Amino acid sequence: MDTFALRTNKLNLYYGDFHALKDVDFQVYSRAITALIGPSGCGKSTLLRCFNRMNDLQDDVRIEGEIYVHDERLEDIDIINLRKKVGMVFQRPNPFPFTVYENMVYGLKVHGMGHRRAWREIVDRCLHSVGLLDELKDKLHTPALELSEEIKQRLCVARLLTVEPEIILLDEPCSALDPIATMRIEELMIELKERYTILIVTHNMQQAARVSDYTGFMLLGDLVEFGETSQIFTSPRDERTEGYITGRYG
Amino acid sequence: MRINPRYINRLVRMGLNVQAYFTVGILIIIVAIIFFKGFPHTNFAFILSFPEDMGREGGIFPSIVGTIQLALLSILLATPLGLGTAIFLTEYTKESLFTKFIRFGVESLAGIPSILYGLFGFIFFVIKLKMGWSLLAGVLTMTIMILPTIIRTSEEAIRAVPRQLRIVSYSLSASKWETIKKVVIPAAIPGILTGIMLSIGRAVGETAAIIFTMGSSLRLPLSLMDSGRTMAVHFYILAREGISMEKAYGTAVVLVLSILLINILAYYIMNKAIARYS
Repeated sequence: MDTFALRTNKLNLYYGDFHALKDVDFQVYSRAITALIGPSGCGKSTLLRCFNRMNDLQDDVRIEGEIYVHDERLEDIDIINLRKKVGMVFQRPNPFPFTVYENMVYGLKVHGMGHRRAWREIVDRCLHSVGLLDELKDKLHTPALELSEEIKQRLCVARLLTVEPEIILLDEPCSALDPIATMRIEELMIELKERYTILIVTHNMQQAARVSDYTGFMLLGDLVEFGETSQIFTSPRDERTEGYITGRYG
Repeated sequence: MRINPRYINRLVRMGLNVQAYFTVGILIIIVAIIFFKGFPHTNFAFILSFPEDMGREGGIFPSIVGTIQLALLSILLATPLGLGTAIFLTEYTKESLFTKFIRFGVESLAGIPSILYGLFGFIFFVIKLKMGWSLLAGVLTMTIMILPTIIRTSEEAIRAVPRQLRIVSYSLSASKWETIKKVVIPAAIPGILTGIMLSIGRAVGETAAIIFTMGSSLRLPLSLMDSGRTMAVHFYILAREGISMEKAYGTAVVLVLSILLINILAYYIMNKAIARYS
């Protein structure tokens, strides 16, 4: 198998006149956690959203350069297949205003995956993967919006797992959670990397240091530095990276 | 001179109280008068039997059936049409001169007095399309009349669905139509139902547009081409032509009760929908 699940080559992105990503060459290793850090507005979320073409939903976005998913050019992949393969978890937990079960089978319905009879098994398996099975197996038909924020966010991850993605994009998944919930989601990420490739954008440097194997530091649209997390946090090569991780700015 | 704010507060509070009681009071007085005058003439025989001697004797069964037919059929026609328009305006277009034009058209349609709808229905459906006074002409006229309500309430309900939910749906690789069908519409259902219920109320209570198009036959309408009358029309004719005030008030009681029933039913359905989807 190829080592890189995701890769960009001279990627440039513009919002209208604003140059949001500048010549970004970036790689995400398979079955590992890669973190993107940097101050607000540095383009880390924008870069993340390139990989499942979420930027397409905005007007006036122009993208130049190449993006690869497992050596396949992004443009050559059908958008439905792409988004099935590259799933995403958002900043705020966002279950649909339906029951837990309806949330869980949404992706299955959309893709016409499996038989209705087999759904329950898939739902149970995915809830189990995120450690929610015991908690929710008797609550499948309660409204998902009644759950706590942490459980909601886990549910969103479980909902994503039902469609069997290979790569999971996490866009500041813990920023709406309290520290204990954050810790649990981090443990979940580490469990998930056994089977999935994970790219996470985070504001929280400690989080990146705790969970990730590789880290990229971005500033003003540039990918300043990319490397193994231990190297980035202990001996950064670029003084801008050092400035950021020692808290001089950001 | 400065008046003590506490004094003003008390005054405002009292004023608002009076206004609220005034509204409820009027409702109670209207319903009380109708019941006082009509209830002695209302019983099961009145509901289930046919009118005799132009409505001087007998019951109002055909007009109850006519009311249900008219309301049900026009809702069945107007809902898909109105909901479709609302979806188009909210999901498939950007704000432009074109959408402004459509919205302006919808609002204008809502502002037209019902007698003009009646006249249009008469000229177009009854005469030009040779439908005659018929349930069909009534239903089509009523459909046009309630369309703006359904469009506007549905549009607002759809707009209120958070954009984030659509984005999540896309991220789960649903297509636009699947997102609309499986996320946006279900989440907007309570608002859409409100519009439908308001429209049923309007169809049940309408007279002017109906007399011109559905006619005022006392027979039971058995096909779309039959003429018939609704309870509201029946009431109007009984009272206007001095046929029987007792029977008119009896009809009014049934009409008020059915509107009450519809509202209770709507409330129930809406609560169920809200419980399920929020």
